[in-house]
This record gives sequence, C-alpha cells and structure tokens, in this order.
Amino acid sequence: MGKTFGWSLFAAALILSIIGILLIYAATYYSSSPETQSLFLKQLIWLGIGLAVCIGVYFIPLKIHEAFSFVYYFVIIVVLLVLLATSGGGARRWFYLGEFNIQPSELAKFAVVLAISRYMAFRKMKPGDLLWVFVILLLISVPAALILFQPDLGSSLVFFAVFIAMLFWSGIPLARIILILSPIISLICAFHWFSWAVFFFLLLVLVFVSRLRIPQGSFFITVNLAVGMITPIMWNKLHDYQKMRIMTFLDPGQDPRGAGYQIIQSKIAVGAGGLFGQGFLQGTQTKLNFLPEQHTDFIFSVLAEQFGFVGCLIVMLLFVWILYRGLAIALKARNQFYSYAACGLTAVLVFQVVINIGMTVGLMPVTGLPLPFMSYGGSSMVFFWAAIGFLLAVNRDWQEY
Amino acid sequence: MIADSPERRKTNYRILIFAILAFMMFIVVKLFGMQLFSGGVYRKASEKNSVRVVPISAPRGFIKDRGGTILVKNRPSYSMYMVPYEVRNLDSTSYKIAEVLRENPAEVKNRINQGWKGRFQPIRLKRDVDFATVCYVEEHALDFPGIMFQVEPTRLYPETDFGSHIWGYVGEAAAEDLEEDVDERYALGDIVGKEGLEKQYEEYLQGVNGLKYIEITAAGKMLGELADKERIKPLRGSELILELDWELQNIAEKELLERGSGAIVALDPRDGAVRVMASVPNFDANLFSGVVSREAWDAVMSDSLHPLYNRSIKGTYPPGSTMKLFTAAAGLENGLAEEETTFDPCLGARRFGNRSFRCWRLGGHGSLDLVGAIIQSCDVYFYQLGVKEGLDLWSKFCKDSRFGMRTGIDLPGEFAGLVPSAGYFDKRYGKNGWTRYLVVNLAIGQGELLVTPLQMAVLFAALGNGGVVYKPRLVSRIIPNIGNIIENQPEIVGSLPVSEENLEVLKKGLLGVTTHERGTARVASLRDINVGGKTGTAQNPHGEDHAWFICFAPVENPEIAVGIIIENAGHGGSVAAPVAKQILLKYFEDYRANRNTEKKTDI
Repeated sequence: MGKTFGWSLFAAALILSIIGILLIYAATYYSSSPETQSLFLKQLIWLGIGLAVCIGVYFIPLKIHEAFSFVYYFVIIVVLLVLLATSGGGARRWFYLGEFNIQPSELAKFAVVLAISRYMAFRKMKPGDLLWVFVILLLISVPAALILFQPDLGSSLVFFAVFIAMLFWSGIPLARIILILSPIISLICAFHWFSWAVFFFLLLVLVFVSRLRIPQGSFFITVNLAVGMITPIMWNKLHDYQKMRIMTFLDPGQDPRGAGYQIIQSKIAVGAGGLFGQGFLQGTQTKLNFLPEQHTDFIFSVLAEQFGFVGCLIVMLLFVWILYRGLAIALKARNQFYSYAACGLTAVLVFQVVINIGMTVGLMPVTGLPLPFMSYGGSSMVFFWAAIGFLLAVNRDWQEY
Repeated sequence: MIADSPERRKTNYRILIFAILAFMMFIVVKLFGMQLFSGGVYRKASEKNSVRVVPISAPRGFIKDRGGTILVKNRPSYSMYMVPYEVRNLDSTSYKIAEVLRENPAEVKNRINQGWKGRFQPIRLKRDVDFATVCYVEEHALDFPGIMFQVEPTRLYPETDFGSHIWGYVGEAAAEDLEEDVDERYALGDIVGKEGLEKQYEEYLQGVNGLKYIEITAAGKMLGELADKERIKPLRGSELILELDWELQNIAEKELLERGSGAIVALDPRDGAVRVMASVPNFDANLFSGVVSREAWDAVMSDSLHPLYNRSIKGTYPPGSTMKLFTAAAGLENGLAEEETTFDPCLGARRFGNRSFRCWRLGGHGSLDLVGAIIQSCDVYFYQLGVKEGLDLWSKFCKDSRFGMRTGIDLPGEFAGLVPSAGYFDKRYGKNGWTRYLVVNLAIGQGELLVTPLQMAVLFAALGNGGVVYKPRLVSRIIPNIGNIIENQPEIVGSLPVSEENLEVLKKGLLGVTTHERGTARVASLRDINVGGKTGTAQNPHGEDHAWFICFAPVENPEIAVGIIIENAGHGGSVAAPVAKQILLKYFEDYRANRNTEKKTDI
C-alpha cells in the first residue's frame, strides 16, 4: 500500500464509520437495556470485520473476483433460497450465528453486481439486442424476488436501481432505458385512465422517435397495452383489505400510527437540531426515545438532532466524496468488468444514501434501508467495506497500469 | 445501439455526478429549510413531545379567627392521574382503576373522556386517594400503565363539624360552575368554593395555579422536572381573618348540640362584626374536599334535619315575643302609646271580633304599662297595641326597620324573611278573605311574619346601639400573598325609625326582662353587667315551639348582641336564655381579662 492506495476514499469511509459508531453510542445511551447500550461495541467489532473484508477483497486479485463472480452469485442464490425455505412462512431476513446476525441480502448486493458486470462485460451488447437486456433483468430478478418475499421491499429495490444505473453506464440512451422500463411505468399509470392515456401517447412518440424496428416497436406497444388493460381489472378484483395491504407495503408512511409516526418524529428531531445541533448526547427526541429505530434506519436523525445542519453537511460531503471517487474509478477502470462493477457498487451506495437521508427528512417513503457505514448492522457494514475494497483494488489496478 | 465509447462514458459519468449532486442539493435545501428556517417550529414540537406542562394546584388561603386560630387550612394528598398515551386498552384499564378505587367503571371512563386534552396530557382521575391505594397501585405499576400520582393540596377543616356553615365547603368545578366562569379561570375538576365563605371569597381564596415542566419518554414515563426550565410556583390564595371569636363559637355550638337544633348569632353592635355564627346540626366540611364515602354522603343528604342548611341566615321563623319590641316601637313612634300607657288589663285572654286570643299566662298579668308589658311579655297588652296600630302601620314600620330585607352579610344564599302586608293577605286569602284582626297575632310575632336569627341579632344590636343598622361582617381582613391588605370596613346600611328617647324606653323594658323580679329571662342576668334581652316562643305548626332569646350587653353601651333560636325546645326564657348567659359570661370574662392586662401594662 502506497501511492496506489486510494487513501482519501478509505479515509472518508472510515470517518463515516466512526461517526456512525459515535451516533449509535448516542442513540442507545439512554436506553434501559444494557444490551442495547452496548450495541456500539458490537458495531466496532463489525467495523473491524468490515476492514478485514475490505483488505481481503483489496488483496485478492481482481481476476479472481472476475472468474468467481458467477460462483458468488449461485452461492448467494442458494443461501437466499435456504433462508426463504427455513422461514416457515414468516418474515425472516437474517441467519443467526451466535451473537451476530448475517443478512444475506446485503451480501447478495455484492455478488449480483459482480455477476451482472461479468455478463455485461463478457457479452457485449449489440444494437437492438433485447435478449441481452432480458438476461440482465433475469439475473437481477431472481435474487430481488427472493429478497422481496422475505419480505424486504427496500433491499429488492436496490437491485433495480443498480440495473438502471448499469444499463445507463453501458451506453444505452436514456430514451431506450425508459422504453425498457415502460411496462413498470404503465403499471403505475394504469391506476387512472387519464394518466395511462398520456403515458401511452408518450410511449408511441418514443417508439416512433427511437426508430425501432417493427417487431421491437410492436412488442413494447403490445406489452404496455396488455399491462394497462389487465392492471385495473386485477386491482378491482382485489378485496379492500388486500388493496390496503399493498398500499401500506408500498408506502408505509401513510399509516400514521406506524411509519407515519416515525416520519413525524424524525422530522421533529432533524428540525430541532438547528444550525449546530443540541450537542452530543443531548436532544430530547433521541434521549427520550421518540425516534423509532434510531440506531439503525434513523441514525441520520440522531446526527441531525445532535450536530445540526453543520454535522449533516459534513457527513453528506463525505458521502459525496465517496460517490465521486467511486464513479471516477469506474470511469478510469482498465476493463469493462471493473468499470461495470465499480459503477454498480457505487450505484448501491448512491441509492441507499439518497433513500435513507431522504426518508429521514421526509422526502422519501419509509423503506427500511440502512445508511451506508453509519446505521447499526453488521452485514451492511461488511458489504460496504467490501465495496470499498473492490473500488480500491480497481483504483490500484488502474494506477499500476 | 451506440457502443460504449470512452466519450460516451465520460458524458454518462458527468450526468451521473450531476444527478448525485442534484439529489444531494435537494436534500441539503430541505435540511436547510427544516433546521434553519423552521427550526423553532420543530424545536417546539420536540418540546411538546417530551415536555408535559403539569399544573401545580395553588393552595387555597387559610381562614383564621380574630385571635389567629387557624380554622381552615390545607393538607397534602395524592391525586391519581392517567397519561392516556400509555394506556393500551382503555376499557380494561378503567375497569382495573375502578376496582382499586371501588368505583363504577363507567364513571371512571366518563371522567377520562371529560378530562381528555390530548394523548400526552395527564388526566386527573381522582383526588385524595388514600395511601393504601397509592401503595397498592405503585407496587403493581406494571398492571397500571400510565397511572401516576401527584401531591396536591386538599382543603382541611381541622375543627371538623364546628363552624362548617361559616366557611361552607369546596368541591370540583362542575359544568355549571364553568358556565358562570366568564374569565375562564377554571378547568373542569379544579377546586372551587361551593358554599359559605369558600364561595363568597372564592376569588381571594383561590390563588393562582403554578406550572411545572415534566420530561416524559416516548413511552409516557415521567422522568421528573426539566432541569433548565424552572417551575412557576403556585401562589397561595389570600388569607381571611374573620371577626369570629372561636372560643365563643365553641361554646355556642356545644350548647346548641346539647339542646338539639337551632342557631346562634353574636355580633358587635358597634360595627356589625360577627363574633359567633352557629347552626346545628352541623356537618364535617372535610366530607366534600376529599374522598366522600357514599355512606357519609347519604347520611348527610338524607338527614331530615338538613345539616347542610345554615339556619343563621337561611332559617326563617316567626320571631315570637321578641317582636313585641318592634310593635312597641311602632306604637311609641306613632304616638299611639307611651311609656306609661296602659290598656285593658290582661285577664289571661282577650276577645277580638268573634275570636278569643289567649295570653301565654293563663292567670293574666293584670294592668301593665308598656315597659311592664315588655318585661312580662304580656300578649294581651300587645294584642291591643297591635289592633290600635292596625296592619298597614305595623307592616310599614317593620319594613322601615328592615324586616323582610337581607342584612347583606358576606355569605351566599341569605334569606330575606317576610313581612306580611294587606297586599300579601289579599293575594293569599282574596280581597275580603281576611279580617283586620290578623294583626293581633302578628303584633306578638306569630303568624306569617318570618325572620332569620341573623336579622334578629342585627336589629337588636341596632336597638342597643342607638338605632344604627350595620351590615354584619364575618371577614375583617383579607391578607393577600402579595399586595396590600384589604380591610373590610364597617358599613352602615340604615337606621331604625325610632327616636333616642323611645329607644331608652325599650331598653328599660329589655333590662327589666333579666333584672325585674317578674322578668321572663332572669337566668340571663349577670352580676355586674346589665343585660338587656327578650325571650320568645315561636309557634311551630309542625311540632314543638321554637325557643328564642335575643339580647345585648352592657345595656348602657352594648358590645355584644346575641340572637339564639333553639328549635322545638319550648319556652325561650328557660331554654335559650341560659345559653346566652354562657356566651356573655365567656365574652365578659375575656373582656375583663383584657382590661386587667391593659391596666397592668399601664402600671
């Protein structure tokens, strides 16, 4: 490790992790259970493990990652299947290993990003190659579906964010990506006939402007028409309680006693922080436990309440630096696999940072996605440090080249 | 589709960086707005979240007698509160609370609904919970989520039954109290005066509630007072210093209790200060300020003697022979009689119209002058005087003397009594349904004429002091916690329409009642102080006659006037007059003792 080591990236991630541990300490300081109070120590151990994994990923030659990417992928699929199979119908997201829990969905992010990158780099896309897109979609959908059934909507959405980001990175024009995503947009628009009509009109324009060949064009139009027709019929056949269940699943913030309450309390904590915050271990929202999940999903509210706007700005700058470095590394990467993988891993980071902080300040729905490096949670910590290790390795590879 | 050329990559890279920065900026702007622009709003919201404003009940002002004896004070007690937020199941919780409080669950639930001010604001479920219940609930805290106790002052009447009619009692403000409360000083369940001085002087006694800021967790657990927000201390209500003489009051109540039911009022004829106001049966005012057990409440309410009723100001009785003084005064003032005037001699009865009216003394009094008739309380004499005056003149004189009019004492609910007139009888019996001989009975204080014991004491005081009618006052001074002492000044509300000379004639008669060998109240005479008084026996259609005795002393320059009525006790001279003597003895014993000490200090 020397000049070729991306110190600034490593340092930014380490500082965020340490701030995270301090905030976990603050969030659990006033808890009545000693077990909760010692969570920051556990997180410290996880940071140690994360650093070890980071160094490990860094020193394993990139070639090996490239070669084993599909092995990772299939292993994680099997793990997810086992998890689902042993859940006995109930919700289950973790494997329990003594004191520590493993959350396979976090590890799946790494494996899936590498596998897709491998595929995208291996089989270069040719113009109008729909199969290429569908293979990638399949690679994403299988783990995403397994995670969705855990159920963990937030984590499964991460995969689709990665999918879009990597399609974009592959050079497909935005218009084409929209076309690919059009059935999903059609599904959402189909809840009102007018919005769907507008969407369908725009779709026709898009198909025409993109100068698709007749079979492809008619394929998209047919699929969207089908989705638009079937969705309202299906929706109306559902019972009210089923509709409600789906609605609260998609937007938990609507339920004022549940997630809505969380959002209100989080916003109060953030706002009460002011410019410089109420001080470390101060702030009544955290102190008196008004913030739900304050050491995990809502760790940013703790930061905002105790360290204010200035604290938030510093943390966000650190994140921006990491994201910037991640994309810069993806841009300069020596081969397509490295580039795709670096971009995909950065995309996970971007998505989780934006969704989590957005949720904290009330801009995004409650999804239960942790804030990278900072939220309490070992698997997440390990995943993001693995991602850092990989980015650092790609960086070294480029510098040495 | 376009190949992934380096230029294309670079453009995408820029777009992505731009997108990230845009997202972040969006969040930063939102943060900026929340933390720097609306920070105050959120901080308030967070305070509201975590800080409960809990009122601290102000202790009510004390009430003391003229010598400084504390008659009414406060004691600490436990009030049970509930924080609704922590209550999962309202039905089961109110059932459990009702069980420990031994109350009806529906009643408890009703109180919760009425007191609801938001799910974090504590609701008072019950005042003055007994200590055993407090301990039980605290020990089983897990079974009673959201239940807590606060120490609050409860009114304490250390003298229990004695004096209860003077101060009345307090209770929780009910819906109708709040309707009257235009200034919105009260909330439902606040303590307000309901009767007596507690009601009359409510605005002074009440005090100003304080506030304290209690920190509370999301789970509704109270953590104690906020360190950096000082509590606003409650302001104790003003203290009332009464004109009352507690030792005299004690004697009065004891004497009355021994003799059944009745009332005693004693005043200073020189300024209207009330020294004694007793009404028996009395009640324990503590019953109403704290836990009222159902049995005790039922006992008070179903008592046929109505212990809550202040007979001194609300009991209206015929004045009996004590009225003869005023019939005499009317005669003197209108030139229909003089000191030496005699009428037909008393033979034990006299015929008016077609009816015979008896004198109380069946053997008759023979021929008496006015003073003699007062001394011996000859009915026949006053029958004749009354007829001579006629109803209209007699009735007008009574009204001019302030019969049938409230005395204006500083207590709520005083009754005015009744002076019947021709108009009254017309209305009652029809235009020609009554004879002019109705005045025969009225002249000796029987029949429709109704007076209160307080009225009689006030008017006799006026007979003694030269005709000045003072407004009777219980309170002499109001001492507020901050600010100036308010002196309750004596107030003259009128005067008797009787000249000085005629008053002297009447006094001669009154003195004779206790000193003359044939006087009806010789038992009330003192060794070296002249007592002037008049006995009376009020006919009671519902039972035994009521015994009156009204007096003042010393006759020459009265310092104390005492009005006594003992219900269903028979003749005033034998039953009521000895009570007056006890009070006068005590009064003048103290009076002399004071004089002696004064002399000692002079030497």
